[in-house]
Amino acid sequence: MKTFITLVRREHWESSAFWIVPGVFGALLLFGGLFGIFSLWQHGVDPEDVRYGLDQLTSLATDERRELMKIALLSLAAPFNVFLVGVTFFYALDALYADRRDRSVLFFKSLPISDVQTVLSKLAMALLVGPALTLAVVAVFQIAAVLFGTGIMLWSGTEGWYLALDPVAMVYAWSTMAWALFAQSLVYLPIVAWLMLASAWARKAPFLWAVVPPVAVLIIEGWIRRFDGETALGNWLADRVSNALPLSFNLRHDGDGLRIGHVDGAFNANGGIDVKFDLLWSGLVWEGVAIAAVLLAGAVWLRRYRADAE
Amino acid sequence: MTTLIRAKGLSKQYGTLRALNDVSFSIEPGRIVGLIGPNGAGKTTALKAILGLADFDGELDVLGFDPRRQRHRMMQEVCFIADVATLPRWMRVQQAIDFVESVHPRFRRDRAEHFLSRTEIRRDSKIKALSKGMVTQLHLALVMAIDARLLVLDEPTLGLDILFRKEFYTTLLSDYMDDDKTIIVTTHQVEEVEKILTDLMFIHHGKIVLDVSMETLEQQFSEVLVAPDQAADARALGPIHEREVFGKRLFIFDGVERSRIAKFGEVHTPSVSDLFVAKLRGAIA
Repeated sequence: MKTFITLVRREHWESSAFWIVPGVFGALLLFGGLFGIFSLWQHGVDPEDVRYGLDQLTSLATDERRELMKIALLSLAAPFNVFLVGVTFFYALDALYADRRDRSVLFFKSLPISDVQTVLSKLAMALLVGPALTLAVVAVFQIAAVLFGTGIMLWSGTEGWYLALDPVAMVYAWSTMAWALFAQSLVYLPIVAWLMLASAWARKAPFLWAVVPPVAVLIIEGWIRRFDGETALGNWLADRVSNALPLSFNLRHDGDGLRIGHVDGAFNANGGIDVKFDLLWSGLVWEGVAIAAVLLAGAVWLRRYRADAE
Repeated sequence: MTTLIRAKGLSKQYGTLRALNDVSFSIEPGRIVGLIGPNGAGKTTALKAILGLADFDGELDVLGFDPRRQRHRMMQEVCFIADVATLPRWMRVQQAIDFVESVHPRFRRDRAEHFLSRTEIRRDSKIKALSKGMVTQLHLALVMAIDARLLVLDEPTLGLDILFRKEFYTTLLSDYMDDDKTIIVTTHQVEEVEKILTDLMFIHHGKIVLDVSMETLEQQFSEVLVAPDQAADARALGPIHEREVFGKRLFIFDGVERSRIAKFGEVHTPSVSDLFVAKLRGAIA
């Protein structure tokens, strides 16, 4: 276990992208926000006008205000996920390739570390530690954003200016995010395993090894099916994502797409977004685990004797 | 003590190339074995088999382990430096020490710190910022702090300047080697290791062409510089190698008693590199 933790730490030393990329993005957003306020102030916006809007929010009932805050915080967090998915993609592609390319694999192989430990530590980095690091950065960003908002409320003289500083709403948002990221990792598990297999296999260009085979399958199948827009692989990927959402949150499919709400009927304004854990015992997850196990076993097997990329 | 490495009928095929061809040898504890051969002779293949980095045919026992199936446990007692530049370039010196300490039960931090204190390596440097010589010093400090029974060095001084090369082997001998430890080293710079080896193994075209201890080597092989007019007499004794040196003929003999060739001139033990050329080029050119 000590070795495993060390291996995960090692991954973190090597790949800081999981927190640097969202960190830079968050800093840019805050900078943009400051700039926006500065130009408002320069154009002589009346604090009274701002205050009028904010008073509407602070006068809401606590429950409603919290629900709104949570949705606001989650909306702030959503764009960061694009970066997380991107970083995870390239991390997984590099995971079992980079050290063969620079031959440092020979150093790691000179130590008593099993190939299973190596592969699993990289998987843990991609799907657990990496998302946790991103979540931590996003949480810091959200706190900064809330302080920023509080500053505006103070400046405009909003009554109840302190109401945005609501730890309950923040913890609520963070736990929702943590679950969302964990659910996302479960959904993407077989895909990450596939990327790691390509990473362990490639003597060069792991990106092509990872992307060309599935794209080729998509094209060939699409051609066989006369371009009716459906392919088994494409449907499987799309279904994984769209089926996972209603299993993880109080969302439902209806004729037009996903809807929020536990109960039947239209948009449930009071319900808000809630988590549910049906995903954990769904076939979707176990199917993914089974596929990933096979792919990762392949990666371990390749790792065994592929000592360098040449 | 029991035999450390026992190989029987070791073979490895890469496509049509037989990198190792039915090789058998054994290595005893407390020895420093030089594995010498031209490029592509099978040295690296043999080492990879011993270290469990490549599959092979035949039988191989390393410290009682099968490198194919028990590599993880074997590596607690085996260490190697595969090349000068295999330490991860993104790591910091401090991280490298921390890392090895956490994953290796036989690593002694104080020893590593002691070796490093004699160098100019800073703990907060990234490895990519160190010179090639410093990276080797660091790697050696890490490896020497591991109490391994077998240390394998594959071209450990390649590309280093001469000061570091000398120091490398001096440190290894004075601070690391003892009766319980065994070192296998491959190198192109035979002259550098010649003095420290206890055993010599020549490998050529996937076969072991010579496997002797240095003591046996002194008894078995001899070298003499012969005046041109006596060359025919010397040739009659069946030398394994002959070449011209400063107008005289240099002969190397295998298994010819020194008393029989003393009449031609002063008899020496051939250098490893001369012997290497003699064994590989075959008999008289």
